[in-house]
Amino acid sequence: MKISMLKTIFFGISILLGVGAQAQTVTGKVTDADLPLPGASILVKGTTNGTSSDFDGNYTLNDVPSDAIIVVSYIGFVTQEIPVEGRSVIDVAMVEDKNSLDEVVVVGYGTKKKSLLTGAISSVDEKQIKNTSNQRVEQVLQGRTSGVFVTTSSGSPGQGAQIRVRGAGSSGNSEPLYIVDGMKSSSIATLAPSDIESIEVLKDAASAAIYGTEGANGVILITTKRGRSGDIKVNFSTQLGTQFVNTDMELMNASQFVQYMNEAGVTSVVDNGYDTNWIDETFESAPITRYDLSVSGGIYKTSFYASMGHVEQEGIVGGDNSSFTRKTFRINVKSEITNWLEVGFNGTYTLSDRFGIQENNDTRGVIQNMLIIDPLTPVIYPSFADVPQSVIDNSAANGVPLLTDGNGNVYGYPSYSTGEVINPVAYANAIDRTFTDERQSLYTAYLKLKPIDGLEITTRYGRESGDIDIMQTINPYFVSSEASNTELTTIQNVFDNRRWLWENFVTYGKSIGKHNVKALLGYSAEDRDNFTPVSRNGTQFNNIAPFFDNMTSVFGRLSYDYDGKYLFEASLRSDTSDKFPTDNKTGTFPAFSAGWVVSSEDFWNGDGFLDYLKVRASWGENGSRANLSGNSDLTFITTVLNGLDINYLGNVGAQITGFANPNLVWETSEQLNFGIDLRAFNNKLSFTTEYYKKTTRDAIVSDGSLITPGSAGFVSNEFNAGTIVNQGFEFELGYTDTTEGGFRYSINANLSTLDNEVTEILFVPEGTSLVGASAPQNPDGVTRFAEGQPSWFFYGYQTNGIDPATGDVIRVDTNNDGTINNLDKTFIGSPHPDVLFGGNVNLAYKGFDLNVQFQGTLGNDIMSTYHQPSRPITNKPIHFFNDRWTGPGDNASYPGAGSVIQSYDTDLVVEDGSYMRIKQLQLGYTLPVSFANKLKLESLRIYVSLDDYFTFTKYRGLDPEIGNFNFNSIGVDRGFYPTAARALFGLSLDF
Amino acid sequence: MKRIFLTFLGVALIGVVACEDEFTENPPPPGTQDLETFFLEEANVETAVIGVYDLMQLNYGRDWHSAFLVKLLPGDDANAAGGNSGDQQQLQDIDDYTNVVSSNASIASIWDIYYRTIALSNLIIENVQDSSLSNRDRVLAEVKFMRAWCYFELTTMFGDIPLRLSVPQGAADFGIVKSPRADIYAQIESDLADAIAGLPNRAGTADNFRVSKGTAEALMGKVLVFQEKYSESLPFFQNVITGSDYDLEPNPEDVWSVDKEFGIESLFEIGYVSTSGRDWGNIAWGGRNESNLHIQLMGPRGDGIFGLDGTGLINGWGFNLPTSKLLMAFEDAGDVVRKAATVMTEAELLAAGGSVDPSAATGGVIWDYEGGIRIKYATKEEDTSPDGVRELNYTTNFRLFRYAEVLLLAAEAYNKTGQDANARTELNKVRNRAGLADIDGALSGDNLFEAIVDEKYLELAHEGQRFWDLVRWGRAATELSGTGYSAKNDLFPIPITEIEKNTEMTMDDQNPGY
Repeated sequence: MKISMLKTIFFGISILLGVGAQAQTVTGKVTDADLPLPGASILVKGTTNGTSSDFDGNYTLNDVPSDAIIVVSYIGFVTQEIPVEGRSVIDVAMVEDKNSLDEVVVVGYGTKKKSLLTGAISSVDEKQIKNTSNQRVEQVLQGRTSGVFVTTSSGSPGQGAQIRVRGAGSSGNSEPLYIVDGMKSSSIATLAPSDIESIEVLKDAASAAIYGTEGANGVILITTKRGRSGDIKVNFSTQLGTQFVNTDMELMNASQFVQYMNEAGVTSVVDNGYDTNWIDETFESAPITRYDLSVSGGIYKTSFYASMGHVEQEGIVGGDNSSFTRKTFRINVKSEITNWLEVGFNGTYTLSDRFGIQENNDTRGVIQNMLIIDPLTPVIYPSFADVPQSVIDNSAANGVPLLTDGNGNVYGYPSYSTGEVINPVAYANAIDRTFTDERQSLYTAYLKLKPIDGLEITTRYGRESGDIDIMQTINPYFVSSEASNTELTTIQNVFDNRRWLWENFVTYGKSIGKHNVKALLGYSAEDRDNFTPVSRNGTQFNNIAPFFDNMTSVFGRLSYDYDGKYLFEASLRSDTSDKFPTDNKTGTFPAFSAGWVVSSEDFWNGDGFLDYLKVRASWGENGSRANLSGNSDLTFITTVLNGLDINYLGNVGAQITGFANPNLVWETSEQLNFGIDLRAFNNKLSFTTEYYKKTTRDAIVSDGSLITPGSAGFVSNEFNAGTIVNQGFEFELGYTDTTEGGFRYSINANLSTLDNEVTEILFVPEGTSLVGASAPQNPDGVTRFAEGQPSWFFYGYQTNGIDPATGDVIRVDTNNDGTINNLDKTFIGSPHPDVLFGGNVNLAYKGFDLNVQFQGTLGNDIMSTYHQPSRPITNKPIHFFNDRWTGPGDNASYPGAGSVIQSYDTDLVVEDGSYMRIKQLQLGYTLPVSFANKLKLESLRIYVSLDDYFTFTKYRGLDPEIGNFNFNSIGVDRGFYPTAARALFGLSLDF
Repeated sequence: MKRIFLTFLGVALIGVVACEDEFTENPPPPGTQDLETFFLEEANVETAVIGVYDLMQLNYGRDWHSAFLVKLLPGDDANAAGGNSGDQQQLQDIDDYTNVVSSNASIASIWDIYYRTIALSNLIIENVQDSSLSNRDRVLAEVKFMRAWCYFELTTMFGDIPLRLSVPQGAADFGIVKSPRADIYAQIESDLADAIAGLPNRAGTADNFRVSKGTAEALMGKVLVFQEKYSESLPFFQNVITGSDYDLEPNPEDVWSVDKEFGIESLFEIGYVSTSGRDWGNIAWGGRNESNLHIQLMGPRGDGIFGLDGTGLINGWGFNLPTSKLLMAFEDAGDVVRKAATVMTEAELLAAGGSVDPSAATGGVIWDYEGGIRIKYATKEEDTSPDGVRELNYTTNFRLFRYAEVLLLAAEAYNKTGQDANARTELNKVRNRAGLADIDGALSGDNLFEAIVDEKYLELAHEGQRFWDLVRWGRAATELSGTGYSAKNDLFPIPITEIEKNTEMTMDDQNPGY
């Protein structure tokens, strides 16, 4: 009785409140593959009455009319409309949306549906990363997307890569900005690929403009894996393999070398019975192993992902004197404390140890010595009796031991080569020892408030710190006056880098009818400090000044779409940096973009083979301050230069630091982008094309000597140097299908064209250029930065064949002044490829899968600078012998042996560097689920892989996939440590 | 709860925005001082003056690009030598005349550092001249001497050059036209007059390495002789000669010895020390080692080529070997004592217990070796630190201006003004110290001048004076015939980097022939 009365009262109140008859409360659970799906949106259709699922996927929706329809949606899943039909409990199993247009991509300060994108963003997701055999994130990116150019700095274990997004947009450092889980990171080398959920590359200015001053060279956003609530999942994967050099490069052998030297008039070189193939002797095979273990899951309202990774790699030169060990630890935790408060933490800690040989040096590198040492020198002397007396005497006279291997054998000392030339095997193993101990940590912690529906307030604090300790020892030895060390030498450098970034931003999204609006507003403060607490050469302590960098920023973005059909976005960021002169401290960077989904129009005939078509355009501006040390508007007095005290006979001296430049402005990069996305044949085919033009204005150059004549005495501070234009087309094509027989295949290919040109240089008088990379005994440098040319192009003499009468190199008198001198040096090649391409083919049938991943370039050149003009008795690549001039009347392509030194600063040492490389050829087998389950496993996959094994190129050097450590030395082969080919076996377990 | 969080966030927001200005203010680099206030203190001004000396030390001893070798190598007293004909090509080119180019790195380096020394001098002069600092006059005199020295070296080697007397305030001031050599000389004389007025006698200098009034007077005399203003030069030389600050070392071998650094004969000397303990790890390629790396560069080549037993020398990198012409000139003059302090013939080397093995050299030929090695500024064991890496810690000082040169310049000026008796007196002082008898008392006029020329060739061999004397005497063409020399070599090319970056210069401003 009482109960029925209560019911009556409630019923009455309901009527009074005007709510429709028989309104009720609906509860339920939203799941994805039996796992709770938090954050799904549940809405009564046609109303604003909605809620979202909690951490366990549960939801409660009040006031639902019994005849209503509820709409359940979640980004990346098919939206479901479910009639209530009087039920009070409705569980919803969500189905992943296979149409990847509804995939979500990470953008700056948020996520966005791919179908609503108006900028140029390329993505690499977990599925693509999962099966790769790559040890490094940079390798994962290589060849996978258009517009991204990854060049290995060196094949030496643990060395990184240079990444360029849409070309080099600056005269200086053009590395993109790396954002890991929202935090700026100075490097991505410390991440384990297995921890990565997705990588997004923001290529156009409109996408990157939200990062303002640092977005000019593109932005790479990395999101690491999260835990899902539900069962604890464990993944273990391992990889074992061997690495070896796989090159066709050939040098002169002993008899060829003797003949060559004799023809050059060096008759003292005679066959002494030794014939060493230095390439074979220097390289060896080396092991590589990798282990990754991860645990993820969720307990109550908290989810977590934790992992450990271990990579161990030896070098193909110098064995354990060239090795890399990396240990990574990660913890990602997220917790929904209440329905309006979420907190999270992502942290990673990386320990790496690296032993490195001397490299990237045009006179004192191991590989460089390998390429030039005479083949008449033995690796080790057969017995002590064979050690030349002069070798023993020289060492004794200088009070140093002989160079020996671990077994007491004496290493061969150059029989004929002079100067700095050292036996490369001895060099790699017995002379230098460089040990780098690195500890890096990166973490972010955030707090997200959702006070009202659609509004999110986030405060996020990130911290990065790195300690790098580099210790080098050089043993005493004496090979020649130029290659000797009479005392044990130690050099130590310790670097401490710290950065914190605090960001606060608010997002608000609202839909009114078919109008959808989303707004973002935020600000951030960043502080970066780099210290060098210890820089010590033996007893000499060098004074390295710390580097500080502070910045505050305000940013905002407004996105609007009408029915997912007409898309528009605008963003603005204002940065205030301490690196700029007082008057120009603040830079403002706007961007606009728009898109039109043509296929959503009524007039679109849905029956055609085209399923989806979007056209879009964007424009924006970005900045770059990477090349700036600050205080450019001031002149200081200093008592320290380049780490050394200014001192004269014990008295402290002083100088000025440089001439002030109060007019310095922000380097600004403006970019226009047009794109088309389409899908066809039932979404099996996807295609994207882009055209972009990126114009970098007021490019900042830090080396003031480039505009300062010597007579000014000191040099200018940083200056705005000119304009660089990068433009090109990009294409990405994918096709995925499964035949009726269960054969699954997918093909992805990408291609980018790149045209890089410096269109204007300011300050420096017309016709002159900035000098970049050096080469031995070449005061003009081998790379230059000049108007009308690609940035840091190769610089030297053009040649017009070999003089048939003399065998001399015929150099072109480019300025027609009747004489050949350094003023005739000109463009002789470009390190920038015209075309980049890459792709992969995946084939799978039943448990087997085959993956072929390839990558390559067209139209770039490589210049060799390991030759020694001052050391005539040195070896050379075989074509210098085979194609040489041999006598009067000979029309040869390479000079006579006596004239070869003339070729070292000409286009004769520039070669086409185009190549295609099979980055990965992998065959995998996944155990049937039923069988795996019997083993108490969720899945088990094994694979074998050949990485970097097949290479197709006309380049006659060691490795066409050549990068460099320095922005102005791209494509300069100083004796490049080649990328090792790898044969790998791998295993991956889930349980 | 929710409200507390929001309030907290709001406060934080405002807090950060409020302190933004300070947050983005860039601190000055550590170890630096503000230019505006630096010159207000005497001690700071002295520090800047040391900076000028430091630049001189850098310029004359900078690894492969020293002013010492650039001035020396065109002469017929020294060959570039080194490991082979292509070793340090820019130095070989200077030695061999025909391929000297405007991009020659060594020529560009000395140009830049002379001008840097001038710029720092200008900075000090600008900041000090109107001050009331107690050390003002002496400091002005000291840096004006340095500015004069640099301009004198520059105009001798390059002819007409930019005359910069103030500090550029920015890029707009970088361009500057060339001034005629006469204007350069006028400025040098003006600076030296101020230096003479403001510098103390030698006894009054605060440190032994500092220039004195006598140094300035001697340089004034030399500058005037180079302009053939012989009679005007004489009073300056006479002041130095009659004064007691400077004299000849009694023994020739002591002139360059480690025991007689900043000795009685030295008017201007650049010091080097081993206190920085250089080894192969901390060697500073590019300069500021404090030790004299050039001595190692100029040591007799090792690698089994020159054995140095019995000589007390250490092997080096082989640069700067004497010419046969120089060896012969010592022979012809009957010069024994001074020769022993300057060069050593192959026969003498073998007699001492050493050896020479051309087969160990590139191509079986010791490049640029003409039968003798050099002893002056040689790799003497006693000149380096036994504790560190010997090759890298030579402390040998460069004697840039010494009393014997003053005597020979005075002799030349007397001879050119018809005062041959006085000329013979000064000449004989040099000869007697060298262990040679007086010159024939009947020698006069041009014949006496010849004797002075010959004496100077021997006395200042390997010191970088010879070529520039030959040029001003108009004798380069005859003395250097057959070497590749041509008239264009009388001046070095102005560095291409200067012409390219100096908006007030064009290729038309390049010296003839380049």
